[in-house]
Amino acid sequence: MEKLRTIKEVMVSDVSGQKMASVHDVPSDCTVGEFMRKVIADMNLPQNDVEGRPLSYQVLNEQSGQHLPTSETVGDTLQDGDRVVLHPNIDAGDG
Amino acid sequence: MHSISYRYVLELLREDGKPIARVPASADWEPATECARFTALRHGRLSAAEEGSDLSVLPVWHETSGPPYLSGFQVCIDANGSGPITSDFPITYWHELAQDAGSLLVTRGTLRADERFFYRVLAYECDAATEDRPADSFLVEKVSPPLPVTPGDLSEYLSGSTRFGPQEAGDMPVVIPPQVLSETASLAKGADGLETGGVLIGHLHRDESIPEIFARVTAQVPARHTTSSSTRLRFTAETWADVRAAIALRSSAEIRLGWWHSHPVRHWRDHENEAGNADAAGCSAGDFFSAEDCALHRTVFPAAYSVGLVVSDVRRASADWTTAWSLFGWRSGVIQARGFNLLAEDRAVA
Repeated sequence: MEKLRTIKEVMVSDVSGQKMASVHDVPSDCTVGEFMRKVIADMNLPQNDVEGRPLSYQVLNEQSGQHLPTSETVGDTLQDGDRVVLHPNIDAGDG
Repeated sequence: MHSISYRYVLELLREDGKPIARVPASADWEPATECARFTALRHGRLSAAEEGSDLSVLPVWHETSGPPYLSGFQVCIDANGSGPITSDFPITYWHELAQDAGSLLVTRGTLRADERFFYRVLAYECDAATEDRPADSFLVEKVSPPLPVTPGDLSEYLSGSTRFGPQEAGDMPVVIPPQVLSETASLAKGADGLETGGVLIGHLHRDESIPEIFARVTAQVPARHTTSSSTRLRFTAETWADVRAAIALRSSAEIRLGWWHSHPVRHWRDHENEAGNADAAGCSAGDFFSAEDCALHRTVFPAAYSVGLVVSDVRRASADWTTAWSLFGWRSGVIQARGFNLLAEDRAVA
């Protein structure tokens, strides 16, 4: 059986740039959404808003400047050595 | 990397001291550990090479009640080559958790809505949790980027500056140029009753003579691709991408120091007057950070140096309206109102 290709390393940061992680050996068939959820959890980024509802994030590829569709695979959207940023949709205010 | 081997419990008590309930109290340690690390860096107790040192959170036992009761907790940084660096935090770190627990008890009918209660925090030793990575999972390895600090002379910026807001010893100095305040006021006014906002950018400087680290705001980047109402402002993924592109275009090595948003108090008051009932936003003064504002700050600006500026309408004694600015930031791991220095006009350079 053919061994699944992996992305050896992707650097991830949050909006501030002060929280970073190096992500290793990401299976190429992993979706961007799956990648994002695990990275958010392991980086200890907030996952819920004040009301307890899940926060939605998007992954920005720094090289392309584009947000990656969450249904696409990492193999189709990222390359070894890419840098990505996690961007939340989040509210200020009183609601 | 944290090493936490205690479980924490909140004990709520009535005013007469009778216990009401005990609830698990798993605190969000990151603001505290970030505060401890940054404070040590500010005052030269931690070097740049030691920024990624391991740290641990330990209970500080109440001096009269003793274990398991706490009077606070301590963050201990295990810096290489020197002794441990400690920062103490008060028991009020659990205040918001206690408020949430109290609200839950009110919902259950155990407490009346107007009933005061006290809380204590207890800690019990437990086995430190170890995570086994699933065989088919990939590895996420946290990295500690160096603090982006350049040399600077704080006295130069403070000279001729004007102090605003509640100043507290121990706060990291923040200097803001007048054009940033005037731009935020103009954008807030132009939003016509809707909340608007942006990102504050600038530099962190280290003044070795003190030693101290201070933040110098150089500009604000208006938040685009937002959706808003009079009481809500949504920053989208496109907003952050747009800000990133704007910062890159400026090519001035600026970092995101924080954010700002407006409170259209005048619109809130007009709505209140029209409705003839309680204020639409639950508040007639604009100088506050709501729970949502705190959550955004925690999510997007967790660095201990990050600040949040609120731009609000204020009614003068003469009954006409003007603009007020209130700054919020991290203090002992909690977001609180804080002061800043408005740069003199001739100091406001990029």
